[in-house]
Amino acid sequence: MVDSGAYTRLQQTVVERCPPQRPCYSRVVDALDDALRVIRSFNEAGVDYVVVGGVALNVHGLVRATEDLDVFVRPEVENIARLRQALKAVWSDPDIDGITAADLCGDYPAVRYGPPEGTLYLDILTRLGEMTKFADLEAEEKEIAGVRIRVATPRALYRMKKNTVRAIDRSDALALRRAFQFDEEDGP
Amino acid sequence: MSIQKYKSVSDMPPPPAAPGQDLADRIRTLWNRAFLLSPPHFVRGVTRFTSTEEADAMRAANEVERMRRSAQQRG
Repeated sequence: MVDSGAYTRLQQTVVERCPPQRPCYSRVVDALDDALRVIRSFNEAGVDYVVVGGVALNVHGLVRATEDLDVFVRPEVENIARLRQALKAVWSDPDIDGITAADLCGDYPAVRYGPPEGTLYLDILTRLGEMTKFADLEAEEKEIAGVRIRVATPRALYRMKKNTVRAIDRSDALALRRAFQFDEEDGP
Repeated sequence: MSIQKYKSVSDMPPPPAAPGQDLADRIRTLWNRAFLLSPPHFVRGVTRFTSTEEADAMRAANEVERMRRSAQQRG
């Protein structure tokens, strides 16, 4: 839990840095293509990554809306450099240089990147508390619309989500348990 | 489609996919519909968090701001 002072600061950041909403009905959007473009670029740049979160659920057939692409990345200097290169191939945005190994391998295990355009933002993760580290993450390869995706296994996703606070994570955990017939206590 | 009855919402299975739709089509249909109803709204640029809890808190703050702006737009 973050304290109320920290929450107020985050809220202020949102108010100051969120651009005005633009209704999507005025232009053609394809949110899946946005996500696949990033993943294809990761593959081409040789980024060592695993997709987790809502996009991973969709890849496993549990279709639900999401507006972020959560990716675990191997916390190594060369890999974070490849990640920046992959993102720059998608967006010409100098802000991408602010995604650094010093942060991701140091005091900031979660970095959020909101691109200048598109429907999705990225949560780039190197660890989830002491529970989940990149090296321990069980992953497999899937394909969606011709794009190869390295994705956390349903069991790994279930373990990540089942004991978290967010309602959406608990709901995802329940959907995974039902779809893949996991035991309720199936934990780390 | 015949009528199905359930004693609880939690017993209801997910709706079946439209015939001929593959997974990518199902994802596309739902995501694009969601973005029509609720346009993307997030902080641009790079934001660093010391924990995933902090990242989740910002996501919650983002939702509150999204609702506030939507209410403003409706007048």
